[in-house]
Amino acid sequence: MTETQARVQSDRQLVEATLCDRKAYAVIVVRYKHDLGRYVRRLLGRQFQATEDVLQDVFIKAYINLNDYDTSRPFSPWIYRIAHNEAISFLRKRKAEPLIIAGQDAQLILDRIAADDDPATNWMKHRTAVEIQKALEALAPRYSNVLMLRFLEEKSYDEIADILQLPPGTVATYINRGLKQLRIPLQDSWESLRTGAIND
Amino acid sequence: MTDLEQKVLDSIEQQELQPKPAYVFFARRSVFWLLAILSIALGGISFAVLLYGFIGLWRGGWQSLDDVPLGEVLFSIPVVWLATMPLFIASAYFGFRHTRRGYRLKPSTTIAFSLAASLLLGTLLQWFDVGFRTHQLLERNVPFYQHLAHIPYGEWSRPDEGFLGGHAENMTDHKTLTLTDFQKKIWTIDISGATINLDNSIVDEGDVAIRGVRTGPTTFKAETVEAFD
Repeated sequence: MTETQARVQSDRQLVEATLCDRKAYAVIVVRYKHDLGRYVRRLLGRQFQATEDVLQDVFIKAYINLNDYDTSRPFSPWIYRIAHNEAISFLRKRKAEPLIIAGQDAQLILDRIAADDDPATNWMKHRTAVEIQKALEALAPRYSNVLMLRFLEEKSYDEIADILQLPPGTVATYINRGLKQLRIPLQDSWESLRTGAIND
Repeated sequence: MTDLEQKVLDSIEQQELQPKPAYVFFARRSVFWLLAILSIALGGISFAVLLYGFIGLWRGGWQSLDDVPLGEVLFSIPVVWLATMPLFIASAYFGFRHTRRGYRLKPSTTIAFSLAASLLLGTLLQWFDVGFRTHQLLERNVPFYQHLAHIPYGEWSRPDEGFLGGHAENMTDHKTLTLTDFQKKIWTIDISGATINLDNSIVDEGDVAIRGVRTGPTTFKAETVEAFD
């Protein structure tokens, strides 16, 4: 298989090709290394220096478990799930705190939530990245994980369900609750700022 | 080829790694399917024995649940099966949850499905007397089972062992009694040589407990006839 041929093949075809010739696996690695690398880096937070090692383990684990991939489903959530599990397992071994949202990621989440938000409550647009960063870090992991996948990785509810192995309804609930909880501290600070300005 | 893909391929080659065969994953998934199916089947058997206990209680003379003292109900139904059913349902949920797509189902849906399947199967099994047979089998072979699941109707539904209980229908002559047992089977009982320990006449007594010997498919020779308590 030439490199050009390989690059136009679907994930499923590449998986089948890899099972016959492991060299085809390089194309899968190339295809996913940036997205997964970014996701793993975000999950590792302060441990981001280990991203490449974790990512390498992700691809090796995916290769070993290639026959477990359900070809009737998209490949991306399957390999994202492995990446998620590997990163969480790495953090557990190090007893490290997960999910430290970088300033630029917080800004990105802020922009995307604001774009998605109800115009009547689009006060989110007036928040700063630092505020959203603090509010996100205070969230329970189940909420921050789904918000990160939804607003940073831009995954659909269905894909998030496959990555985190949750019912799609639960994903929707977590996103709504996460957004609601995100708004509470922000709204409080907004209200206190507004009250302060009126009093002044 | 850049750094990472080369490193991954080198690592795979150096460690001589191979994708695990498909049958390994198939076997793992099958274990969870098997667990789920087995749990539903056991849940079904639990429900069949419970039904058997309730039906016996009903046939034992109580036509309305209002008439049944709670203590008597708890003593007469196999409470152990009532306790094990949730365990089987939980185990079925665990099995389904770990199948390939099981995580996509809501826990409440999975539990409701497992419960409904067990109840349906239990009703079907009880149709074929599986509850009664299971109870009898365990009673004979598991020593502590009798303390956990006491069904008086079960004890008196063993004609082959000389214990027959049921409703005394009528006396065809002074020595022959027609009896309907707790499985609604009609028996002809020879009571000519039996010791009858009853305050009333046999037919007035209603439910009776007979010790004796089975003499045919629907015939029995009584040695003692007592009130069914």
